Amino acid sequence: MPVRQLLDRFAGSAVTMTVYGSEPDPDFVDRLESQRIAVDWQALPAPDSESFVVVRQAGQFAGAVRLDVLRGFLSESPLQRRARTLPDPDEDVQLLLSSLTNTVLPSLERGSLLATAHEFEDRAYRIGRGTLRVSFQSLSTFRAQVDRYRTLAADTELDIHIYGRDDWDPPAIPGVTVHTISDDEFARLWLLAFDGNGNATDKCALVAEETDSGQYRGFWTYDPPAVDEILASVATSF
Amino acid sequence: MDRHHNQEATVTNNRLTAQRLDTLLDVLSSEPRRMVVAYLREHGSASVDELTDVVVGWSQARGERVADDTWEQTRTVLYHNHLPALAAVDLVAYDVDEQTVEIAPLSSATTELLSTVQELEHTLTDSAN
Repeated sequence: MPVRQLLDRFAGSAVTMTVYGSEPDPDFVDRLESQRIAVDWQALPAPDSESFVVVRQAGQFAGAVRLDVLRGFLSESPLQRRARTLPDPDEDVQLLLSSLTNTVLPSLERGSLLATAHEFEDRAYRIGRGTLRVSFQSLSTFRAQVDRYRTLAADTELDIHIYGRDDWDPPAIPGVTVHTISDDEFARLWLLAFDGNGNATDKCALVAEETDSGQYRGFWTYDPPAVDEILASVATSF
Repeated sequence: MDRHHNQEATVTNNRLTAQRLDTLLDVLSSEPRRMVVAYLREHGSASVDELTDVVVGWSQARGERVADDTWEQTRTVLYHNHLPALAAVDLVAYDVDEQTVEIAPLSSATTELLSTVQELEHTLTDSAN
């Protein structure tokens, strides 16, 4: 499946991080290294709250994020956001996502992907037009998101397509088309792609594959050709 | 290298002259410069790229809005403005060829001033949180 090949294509990107903090944190370094990220620590003469992480991709500066934001994002149970209703953009998470774009992380928790999906849904909400395709693996997984998607569809003119194995009957929502999938390979993928209503700078996509351990190997991208490829692959698979 | 007269040498009896105090307070009235000095006091030396990472990341951690092109801009301003300014008052030594910066030998009076400034900065950020 082409979408899956995308995961392999992006898997080679070399990401290094430097943690600038008041105290070394070996547990967190282990966690980053389990994502195959090379980590370095430098002492920062500042309070803990000012610790930050600089991300480099192939040696180039890719972004800086607050340490507590990255730690929360990659933790086993990422902090639930204060609001689940749209719109609720989180600028810290946006900075984090742009720093780690096009990087396949091999052991992501569900919560990290959910936080990513929420930022992308929020972007689609703000643009208000265009096509959003989301594969939830199983339609029963969509159940917890129904209210959110009801708002997304009601407040915008988005053309929303939901995909998943047929294990639950979602309610009919105007603007949302539900597709059932039977392809086992595809059912392992958690996928979200937004076409930015044709505007290259607004496109975004998330692709993740569930691993045997229940975690996800995945990446996200703002790269227009990659997003178009993901959208085309989903649209033509069904 | 034809160094100008080292201003740290004018610190006599471990006291800052009024003129030297004016000079130091003036040059330190800029947050990126204070970050550079604090970081170099911790590490001794650093490359210009590393100092750029520190100023960009630290500013962001303090809640300042950061634009996409900030890294290049920050590096340019460090290179052409902040680092020469700190070198001109002998707080740092700046090796343009190697693109590295190191903390200069400082009098104890200057060290005390820098420590006080750093503590004040921590107090400010703590109370802002």
